[in-house]
Amino acid sequence: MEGARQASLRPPIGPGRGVAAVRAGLARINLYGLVTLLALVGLWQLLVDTGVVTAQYIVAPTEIVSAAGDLLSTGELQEATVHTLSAVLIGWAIAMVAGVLLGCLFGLFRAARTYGMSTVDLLRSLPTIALVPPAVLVFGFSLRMEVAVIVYATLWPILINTAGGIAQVPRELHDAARTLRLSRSRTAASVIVPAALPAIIVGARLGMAVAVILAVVAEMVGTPEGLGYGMVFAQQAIQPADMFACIITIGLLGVVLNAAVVAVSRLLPAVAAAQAERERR
Amino acid sequence: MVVDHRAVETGFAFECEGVRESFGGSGAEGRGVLDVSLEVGEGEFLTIVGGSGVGKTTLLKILGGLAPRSAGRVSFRGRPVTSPPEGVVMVFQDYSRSLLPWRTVDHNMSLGLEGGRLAKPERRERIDSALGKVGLSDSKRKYPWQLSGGMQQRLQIARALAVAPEAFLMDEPFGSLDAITKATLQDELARLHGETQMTIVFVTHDVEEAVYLGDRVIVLAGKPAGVAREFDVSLKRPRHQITTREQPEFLDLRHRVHLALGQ
Repeated sequence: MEGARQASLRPPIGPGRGVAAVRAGLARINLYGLVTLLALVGLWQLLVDTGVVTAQYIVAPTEIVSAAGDLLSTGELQEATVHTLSAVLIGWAIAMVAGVLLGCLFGLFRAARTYGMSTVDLLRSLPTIALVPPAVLVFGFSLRMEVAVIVYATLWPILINTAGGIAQVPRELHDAARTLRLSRSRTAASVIVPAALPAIIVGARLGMAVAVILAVVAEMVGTPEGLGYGMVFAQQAIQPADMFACIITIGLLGVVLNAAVVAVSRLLPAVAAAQAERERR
Repeated sequence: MVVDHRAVETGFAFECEGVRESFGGSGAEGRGVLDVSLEVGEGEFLTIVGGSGVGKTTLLKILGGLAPRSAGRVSFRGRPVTSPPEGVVMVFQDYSRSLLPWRTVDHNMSLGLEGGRLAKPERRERIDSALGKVGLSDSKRKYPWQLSGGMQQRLQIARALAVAPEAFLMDEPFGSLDAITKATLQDELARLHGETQMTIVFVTHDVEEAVYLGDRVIVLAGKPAGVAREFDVSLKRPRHQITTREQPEFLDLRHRVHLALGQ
């Protein structure tokens, strides 16, 4: 039984891990799910073609594809995507650094929780979208405004998940570190934070989703660039196919970014081990 | 090495006088209230039995400097215990939660040696020797979750051995293993004790295990829980899973310990 169990195990870390991760990622693609999606798109096309849906601004998938083709040939779609992507990545990266650091601070030090948690709870309850207008006043119609709004919104899920992940590290691990007489700093660096990494990654993924939403909102209301702006521009120009092309690009961006965070996180030994343990159960 | 005169004088590894713990908290363990005085001799294998929630784990954690006490004195080799003392390592029942799943067997082993004064070759030697003692030399590159429960507990024991302890505090270490693995690990631990002459305080709710392993068995019971009875075990070592357990003395002790537990 032992041998059989071990034969099916992939090494979670080490050489070949990158290739294995890609292969595992591909293996995870649900073909049946993909079929359903394609069928839904086909149904949409059919409803428009047969005239069952006659709403003027609901366009068929084929029209969206050709609109996207036009936007790609002029380079507008790429430009807008690059703008939105940069805003998301810059904002998310800043929020990751700040959120993980603050989350560790709150998770590791009771005093930080006692003094700071109420402030965090208050600040994160504010609807960030409502902060876009004041952000426009402060930073103007700029990438900086967009990034500022993204950082603000993205910080909280990362911070909360980091602090929560640290709080949930089992008592036994703390005790094991203590009985082996590790210093507090070594315990934090070698035991506690690595044990919290899977939770931190959850925060990173939630944060990425929030970052995309806020980028689009900030572009719809403020920055005259990016996919959010392109969408509103197409709507006002009564170009529904262009509008849907932007919406679908935003959706794809979200999917790709989430997959990227997942793929990169699997390179971390602590995350790979947690995943391997889950799969074994 | 500095000779601790008081330790030489008394010959005790642990001394524990009027140690009390009264919890205000909740949970099964939380309701237990302790009032314990006991001594553990140098090199002694002391087993402690008691029902669940009686405070066995808490007592062990107090001895290991992992839990605070409300009152009383605890010392290891004459020095008061306020934090985990050097030379004392606790081994936990829940091995899967005590090991680092993201580290290989080898890197789990080095946890207790990191930041220490050991030079690299010496560290290597310690790890290899400890792994050898528990029969894990061939699994260095595996991850804990690739090992069976018994192997994981062996790893936890080896990790504790690597810091070259003078005393082990073991909290039902074989409690979640199957009967066959449990018997094997009991014998390995007894052999290890014979080889190293370490002091071992071993908590269990398994009466037979307590008698089989111990030089002395303490029954923890009452409210507040204290040392209700003590039994010296003079069964000769090495003990044997079949023949020792058939001896009249074993059966008699087993009987009396059960009675002392009120069963």
